[in-house]
Amino acid sequence: MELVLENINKKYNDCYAVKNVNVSLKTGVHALLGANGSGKTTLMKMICGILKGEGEVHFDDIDLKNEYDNYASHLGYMPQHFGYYPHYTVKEFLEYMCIIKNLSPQYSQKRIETLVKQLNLEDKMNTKMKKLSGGMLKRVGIIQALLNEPDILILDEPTAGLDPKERIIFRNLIASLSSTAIILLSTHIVSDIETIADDILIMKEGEIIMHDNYDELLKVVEGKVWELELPTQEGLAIMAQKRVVKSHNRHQSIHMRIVSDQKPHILAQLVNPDLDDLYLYYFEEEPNDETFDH
Amino acid sequence: MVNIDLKALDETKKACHQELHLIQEKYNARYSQLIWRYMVKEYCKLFIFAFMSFGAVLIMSIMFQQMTFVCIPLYFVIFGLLALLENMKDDLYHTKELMVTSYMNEGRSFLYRTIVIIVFQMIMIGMTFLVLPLNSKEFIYLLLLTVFPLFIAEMIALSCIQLIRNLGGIAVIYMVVYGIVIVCIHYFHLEVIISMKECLWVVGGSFILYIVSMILLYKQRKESTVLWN
Ligand SMILES: Nc1ncnc2c1ncn2[C@@H]1O[C@H](COP(=O)(O)OP(=O)(O)OP(=O)(O)O)[C@@H](O)[C@H]1O
Ligand SMILES: [Mg+2]
Repeated sequence: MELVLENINKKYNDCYAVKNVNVSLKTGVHALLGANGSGKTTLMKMICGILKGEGEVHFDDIDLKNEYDNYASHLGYMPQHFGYYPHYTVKEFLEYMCIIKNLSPQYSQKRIETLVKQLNLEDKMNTKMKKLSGGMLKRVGIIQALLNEPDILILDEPTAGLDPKERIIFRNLIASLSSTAIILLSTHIVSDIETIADDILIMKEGEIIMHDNYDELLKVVEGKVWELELPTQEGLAIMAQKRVVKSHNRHQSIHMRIVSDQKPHILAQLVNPDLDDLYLYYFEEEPNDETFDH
Repeated sequence: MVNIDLKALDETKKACHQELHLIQEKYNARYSQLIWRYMVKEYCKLFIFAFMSFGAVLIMSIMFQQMTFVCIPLYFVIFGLLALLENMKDDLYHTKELMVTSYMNEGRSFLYRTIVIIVFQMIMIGMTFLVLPLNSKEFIYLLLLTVFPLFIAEMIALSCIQLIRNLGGIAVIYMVVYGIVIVCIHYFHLEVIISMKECLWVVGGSFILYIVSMILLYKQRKESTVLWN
């Protein structure tokens, strides 16, 4: 199975939201990482055929433009925000989704039962949609996308708003599907993808600037991540100059983690990078060095 | 000479049958099943409400004869408005993204909704004329006040949905068109000058116009569903 995107472009008033995307995704979990407004949602909507734009999308031999019905039958999409009829209960909503996906009654019932059990929503089945909390709504969104056992699963920020326990359940669910479907998920929560993503696509200003697996990506920041503990005054000065991933105030001193091409301080120690460091490396400009020269 | 493993071939065949069986179980067997389930899910409440209020309106018109020509048209105005609202549901509740990526998509959902509503309207109109004791003048008058403006107003309002994605705007267009048609009928005293045969022609014509414009709108939406190009 392979999902191929060729020359995808999308413009909003002369400004590219998605620019020149060429990717091919195989079975497995692919994470889309990028700052707010980098074009993740736009790209996902184009893969789902919701937005018009330039370029070609095909799944194996099925072309999105020419065989949309067939394509859509392989597709499961969970929007970042989705609408629903507020008077529906969770059960009614899921049944409605099954109907508009043309699934048979027997199959729908079995499928809803299994998924609801997996995502711990059994006791919410008769609750009105409008009374659900944000995290529960997300879970209903995930179930909805999985109803037709899709081969292409597009999840737009599926873990935003989930509590840690639900995030673990979600991760396990995705991991269990990863051998049978092409899963593309976008997120800001780096720890979600470290463990489950087979590869990571980093998006910046509409372009995919990197596409590789976790270990390869980290090589970019290898030798650039430092940890350092300094007295408060001196520490604050350093923090104003450098990209700081984390900092922690102790009694009279500050402990910090810094991403920097050069050694930021004589006392700094090299440490192993993680995805947070990489993210910061790409998405935050280094503060201007000249203002704080000692 | 190629050596074919007949046992393996047989197993493949069985596996294929199994797969076919699974797929057949997964989807609705017939179109009618899909439409029926969709209709029940989406319209059940509307229909119950429509039937009950219809009963009330009929009883009122039978009890107070002079109310007939106010109640019945008013009923159809409101029913038409609700039907319009059904057609705009996706915009109203932002369910469009879920709809577009499903089998139903924008085109089919529009078509099914329109078919269901028009069939239902025909049934209601049929029942009105069966139940109410009307002479031929009244019959013509009632037809001109209900069916004719209903088709015209719905047709125009539905055509505008793609342009004005705003329920208030569409409702106003619908009411205004309905109002204009009714005012015109009274201004020209159509109910007096028109014969039964002409009246049926007018109504039939507007019906055909309605159907044709719905088919065109459906085609337009279906194309916009394959959103690219
Ligand atoms: N309907 C629209 N009209 C004009 N510009 C838009 C529209 N939708 C999105 N954009 C622009 O396109 C760019 C990409 O937006 P998009 O929603 O894809 O970002 P995102 O990566 O999903 O962000 P987030 O992490 O906040 O969800 C943004 O700069 C946004 O302002
Ligand atoms: Mg987004």
